[in-house]
Amino acid sequence: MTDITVVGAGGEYMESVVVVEWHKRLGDAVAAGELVVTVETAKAATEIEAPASGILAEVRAEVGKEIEVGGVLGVIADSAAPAARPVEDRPAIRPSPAKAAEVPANPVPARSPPNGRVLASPLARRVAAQKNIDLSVLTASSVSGRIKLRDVEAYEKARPKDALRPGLDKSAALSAEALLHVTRRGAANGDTLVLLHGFGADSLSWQPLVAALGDSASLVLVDLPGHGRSPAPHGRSSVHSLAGMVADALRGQGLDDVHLVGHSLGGAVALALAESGAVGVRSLTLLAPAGLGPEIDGAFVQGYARATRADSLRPWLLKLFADASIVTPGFVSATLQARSGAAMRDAQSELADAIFPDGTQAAEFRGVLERLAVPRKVIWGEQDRIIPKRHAMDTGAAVALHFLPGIGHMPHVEDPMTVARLILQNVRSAS
Amino acid sequence: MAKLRYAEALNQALREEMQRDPSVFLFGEDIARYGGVFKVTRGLMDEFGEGRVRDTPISEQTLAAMAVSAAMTGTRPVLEIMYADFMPLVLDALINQASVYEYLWDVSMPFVLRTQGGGGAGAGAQHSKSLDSLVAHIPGLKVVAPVTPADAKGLLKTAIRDSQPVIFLEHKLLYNLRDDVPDDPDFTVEIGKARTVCEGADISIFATSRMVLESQKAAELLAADGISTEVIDLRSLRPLDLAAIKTSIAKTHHAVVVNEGWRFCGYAAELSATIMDHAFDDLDGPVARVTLPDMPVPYSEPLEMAVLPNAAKIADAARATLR
Repeated sequence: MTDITVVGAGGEYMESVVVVEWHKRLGDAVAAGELVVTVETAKAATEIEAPASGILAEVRAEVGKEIEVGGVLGVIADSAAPAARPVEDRPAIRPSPAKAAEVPANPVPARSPPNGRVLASPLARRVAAQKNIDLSVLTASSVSGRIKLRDVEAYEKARPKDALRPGLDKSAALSAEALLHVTRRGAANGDTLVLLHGFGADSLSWQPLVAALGDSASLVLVDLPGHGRSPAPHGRSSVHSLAGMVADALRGQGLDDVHLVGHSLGGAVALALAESGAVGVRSLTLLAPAGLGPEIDGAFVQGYARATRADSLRPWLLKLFADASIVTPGFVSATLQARSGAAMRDAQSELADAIFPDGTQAAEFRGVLERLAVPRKVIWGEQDRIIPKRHAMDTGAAVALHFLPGIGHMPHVEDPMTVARLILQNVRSAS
Repeated sequence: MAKLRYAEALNQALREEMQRDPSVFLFGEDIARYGGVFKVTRGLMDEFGEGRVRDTPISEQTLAAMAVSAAMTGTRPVLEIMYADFMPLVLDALINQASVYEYLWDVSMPFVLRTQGGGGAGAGAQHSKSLDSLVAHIPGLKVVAPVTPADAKGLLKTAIRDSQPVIFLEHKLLYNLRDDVPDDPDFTVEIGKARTVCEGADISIFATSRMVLESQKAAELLAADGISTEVIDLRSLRPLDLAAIKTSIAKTHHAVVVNEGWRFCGYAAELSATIMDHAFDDLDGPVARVTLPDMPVPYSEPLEMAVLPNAAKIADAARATLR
């Protein structure tokens, strides 16, 4: 017997998933690696493959059910074992109770004709375009396999924008004082860690680290302007203007004594914020930070910000990680889905042009890092291909440097346990 | 307001218009002494005399030519063609004369051609056809097909007063339908306006003639499944009430078109294409089409019932497009 669990690249960005479709029926034979179930994460549908060959013997999470990451979706038994439950047990997704008779028992994946075009009704097509929803990530509830309006609406309802969705971003809120979106996670009290993500990312990119940190600190996740659920900045941005908005957001949360953790662009913002004195900073942990030298992969910044399709996004995502196996199709589509808004892409392109003009880091904070009196750590992947790790050198004797072997530009995703341990060391050394 | 049968409502409309306008006169086979095979013209010869209500020989081609000539020379003829199945005999007058003379010579052509079609009465392959598309195809003609007695009266009065040729399609199974009909001699129904039979939110059924009644029954069947159905009576086949069609589809996003005629190149095909032309981006499913199959209407009752469109077939088509 082998459990089918919620795993996969999309898992890094999620806490729980909703089962969208079982591709196998109870008693069906499955081969290891074969698609058995599709779950919907905070960002996109993720396909889960059979971990072993055998017979689908048990469906523990039926369609529509929410289940924690790591939870057991079903069980694959040896080929000889009988099915535990009859096939008829599975309920259907129902768009509305009134139309129950109209809905087939098993929703089917969007049918793609040989030319690769997704089958969708004209109305579904129009509404999806208006809402910036990629039809190819939708699941058709109709026996025809044609995506209909109800499928677009169901998808939209389940999108992570919905802050009230149980199990996801329970504490998400828009602060009253500032427009930046802030999410509170981790412990209810104790040391407060403010996590500032990198260019083109959002608060969800901290998910692996949030899991690794557990309840060891109170976590404040800020979506930078023009990222995640925060609106685009007004006027031309600079690292300083971003830091000012973050300071407003933190004050809006009543925070004035924090530990800053910044990744890449978020690292530069953390340096500018610490320099400004707008909030009390007790320690600084920087992950592959910007702001310590002029070089940055400008082609990456531009290409990543502009990418609208999986095949144009994937090569840039591959540059972020030392281990290419992290960049699965599910990971690419989840990232793409989070960046599906044209307005967001435009805002980020504009931001990139302001902060990294001509592919150069215009603002430098080496002096700031040297001068600060609080505990400081810089963590860098040995195989970072976006910002050169040598920027960490010569930043002063009091700055701790950690170079992680076999890690690229995303240490908090590639090795969250090590990064969590180093951050907590830094936090403890401040008290 | 009186309860009248459909045939009586037509009779009342003819009487009122003949009283109102002395240039209105009726002719056709067995319409005067016999009062018409469906009794629509009963009593009118006695009231208005043989000069204004005329029996004619069995020669539809001649009758149609007479109607064109009479309309061109200052009268308002109302011609009855006993069965729609005989319409091919009058097509030359319609296609090459009635519909083009205004264009060629700037003359008005105020005549009405009444006929009745449709199956369900065991009348066989030569007396059961619905040839709506044959006449609706012709530019320069108006085509109406009332379902209710009130519409029968109101549309016939409007048709008689119209200066263009109007083909007035009745259905043999509607003549005994009894309902409220306004007494007001000025009551008319505008040509070009559809009638909303019942409002709904999930799917729109656009139907013609007797199929409106089957669509109403289909709406009841669908209601049992929790499907809210809008039924629109396209009582004016041409000009078509496009606004009503677009408004309804914008609300329900699903459409079934129903016509008792043949499927291939039929009136339902025209409706389907028109919906694609004007409401494509509002559609959440394919337009479903319910028609007679492309075959003669059988004389055998079970076979005839099997091929005619009905409420169950309409409901099935609705469910299929909603899936």
